[in-house]
Amino acid sequence: MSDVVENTKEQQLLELKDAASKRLAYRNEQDTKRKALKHARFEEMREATPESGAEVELPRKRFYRQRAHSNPFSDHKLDYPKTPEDMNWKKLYPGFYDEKTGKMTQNVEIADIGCGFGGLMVDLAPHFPESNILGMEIRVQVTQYVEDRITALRRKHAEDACNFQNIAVLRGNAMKFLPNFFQKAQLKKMFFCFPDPHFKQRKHKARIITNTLLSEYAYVLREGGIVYTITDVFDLHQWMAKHLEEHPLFERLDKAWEEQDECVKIMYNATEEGQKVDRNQGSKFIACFRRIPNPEL
Amino acid sequence: MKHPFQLILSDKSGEHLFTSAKHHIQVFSTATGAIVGSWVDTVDIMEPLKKQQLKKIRALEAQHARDIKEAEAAAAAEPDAKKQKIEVKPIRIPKIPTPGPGAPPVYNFIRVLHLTADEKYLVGTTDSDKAIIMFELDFSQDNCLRLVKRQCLAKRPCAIASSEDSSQMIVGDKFGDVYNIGVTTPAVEDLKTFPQPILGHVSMLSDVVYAKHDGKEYVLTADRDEHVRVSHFPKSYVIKKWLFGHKEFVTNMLIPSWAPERLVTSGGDDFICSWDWTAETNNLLDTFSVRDLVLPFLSDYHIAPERFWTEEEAADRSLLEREITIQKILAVEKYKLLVVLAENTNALFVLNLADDGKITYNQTLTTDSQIITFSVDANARMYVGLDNKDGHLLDVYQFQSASDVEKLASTTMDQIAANSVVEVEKADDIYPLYHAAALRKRSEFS
Repeated sequence: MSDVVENTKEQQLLELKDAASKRLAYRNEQDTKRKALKHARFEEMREATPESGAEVELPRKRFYRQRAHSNPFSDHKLDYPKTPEDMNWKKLYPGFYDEKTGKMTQNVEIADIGCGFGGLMVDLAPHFPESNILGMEIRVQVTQYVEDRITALRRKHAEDACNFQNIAVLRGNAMKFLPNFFQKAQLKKMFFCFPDPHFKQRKHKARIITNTLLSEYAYVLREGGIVYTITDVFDLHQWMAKHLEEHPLFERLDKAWEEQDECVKIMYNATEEGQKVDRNQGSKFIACFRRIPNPEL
Repeated sequence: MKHPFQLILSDKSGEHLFTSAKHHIQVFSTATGAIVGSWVDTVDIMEPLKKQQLKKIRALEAQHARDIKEAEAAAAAEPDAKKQKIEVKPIRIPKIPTPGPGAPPVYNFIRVLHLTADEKYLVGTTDSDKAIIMFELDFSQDNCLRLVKRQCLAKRPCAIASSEDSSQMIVGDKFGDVYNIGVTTPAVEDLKTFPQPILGHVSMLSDVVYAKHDGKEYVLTADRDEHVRVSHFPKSYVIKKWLFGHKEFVTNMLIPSWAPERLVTSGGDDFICSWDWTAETNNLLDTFSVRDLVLPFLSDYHIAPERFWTEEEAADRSLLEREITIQKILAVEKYKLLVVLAENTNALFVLNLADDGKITYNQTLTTDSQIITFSVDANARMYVGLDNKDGHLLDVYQFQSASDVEKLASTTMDQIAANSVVEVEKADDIYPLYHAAALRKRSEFS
């Protein structure tokens, strides 16, 4: 009897290992593909896929799953530019690099902080063709998924009006290194969708919205720029709204504004987390804020 | 055996030397070597843990009382049940965690001493209760130190600056937050009601500097990442800019009094940065490599801990690099010089800071023992704290001109060392004296 039990246990263990190695194998394969494709220029890519790209396969999320939490205080091995001027945006948005001038033809103006699996960016892309949109995500595998997803979308829609050249993702710690990426007043919109709630009181500094971090967001946002927040955790919603309301450089936008704003609509429906909340019939709480001018100093 | 001074700080006139060793602050007269002020931190190092325990016990007691009430109510609701017992588990008093064998030793010492611009207050930090301690200075008293405020913080304070009028202390903590603490306002007991930080980094703060330019006030902050940030003050939620240039942690920032728009920064890099921190763009004026200067003074102490070695390095130790940590930079105001100390070396490097921000080499001073810290007064006299087991804890130098430095006979300095009351039985009991190198990040997480 006990033999049987042990056998099944062993088998389960083997199966687990097998699944893990399958996931790893899949990611490795994608890795090779990504390396070959990621930095290819837009035109070259079109040549590489003369068909409309019907055979282009989107990456499968289940191979990239990763624990939902990451410690923002630990010193990860991160790649980030020494200054915003040193940032090589050409790598991320090859379609908007002008070979002649050596400059980008349009810049990142929208940031999705903690973009997760990238659903929001994908939905925002057709609405903001004149702005580059950047997703920042701290989890390695999730970032890789979004990268693969964007690469696939770019290939699949190479001939379409929205070819997803204006969205990109990078792995980074926005709480520590946001000013390394963006210049003062570079952004017009920042999204904080379903951030890690960090329930414990002693972990509150790990939250993405704190009064001290808001000053950094205010620095990279231009006057009139918007901060969007959405969460399914009511406590966190209250916390974020409270801190934004208390911050002297932000003012709350009212319900009427929220109802007429397209991004709110997209944010409400787009993200993977948001859809999960819908499936579980949870509530979603939204708060949006406008960056107001600096006071007299 | 005398414990070496971990911090020394002279006033502008050079009449007094403020020192710390372990949890003692002692103030000496540089004319006689006599102690003119002293203070000892008497708070038990276990204090925060005891407070925590008390809080837990109170919470448990409250819960216990509620449980009993509930059980009684339940019993009252069902009087028919025969074997109705009121069963509530008694409280288990939570233990105060004690370090097990092999745990790193706990030290209790003063980490920062700061003198306000008007020299009215001396401000320091404590380890025991993670407090800021503020002393009013009055040299007409037997003890020139009068503690006027002791403010505990949630996290250990590690950098102090003060506003121009000395009414506000700007204190950075290990968690990256900066608080504005008034001198005359009463201390806040309940930390929950403590005011919000005025600014914050998501990294340990290593230095905070208050500055004024064009009639506007600023606070500069440096952290264990490589960030140097300039914020307005007191509206510090308005960030002016970041100064990008360092690759490693930044340990100190210096704004020379003769050039208030200049800033010199250093830390874990093998170079020193010179900035125009007030400019809108092109802030970095010069980087000066100290590598060739410092390397001859480094020892195996400056090699990374073994657990960070790569396989190749472990196999061939000659591959291991000695790492440079600039511990302190001070200015010799009178001759517009900079003096640089690399941690755990016996050399001080004198550099010139030109008006255009360019840094050039002047000369090297060497001592017989390793240097722990140093201080410079307005008369270009420099006090050097030594890591010495024979009681010779201080050297004193006089800058005669921009190129001429003279080592003075140090009988009063030896007198000061002899008067210090902080004794240890053996060399092993001396506290760790070098802390900056530990700030180097060695990314263990992917």
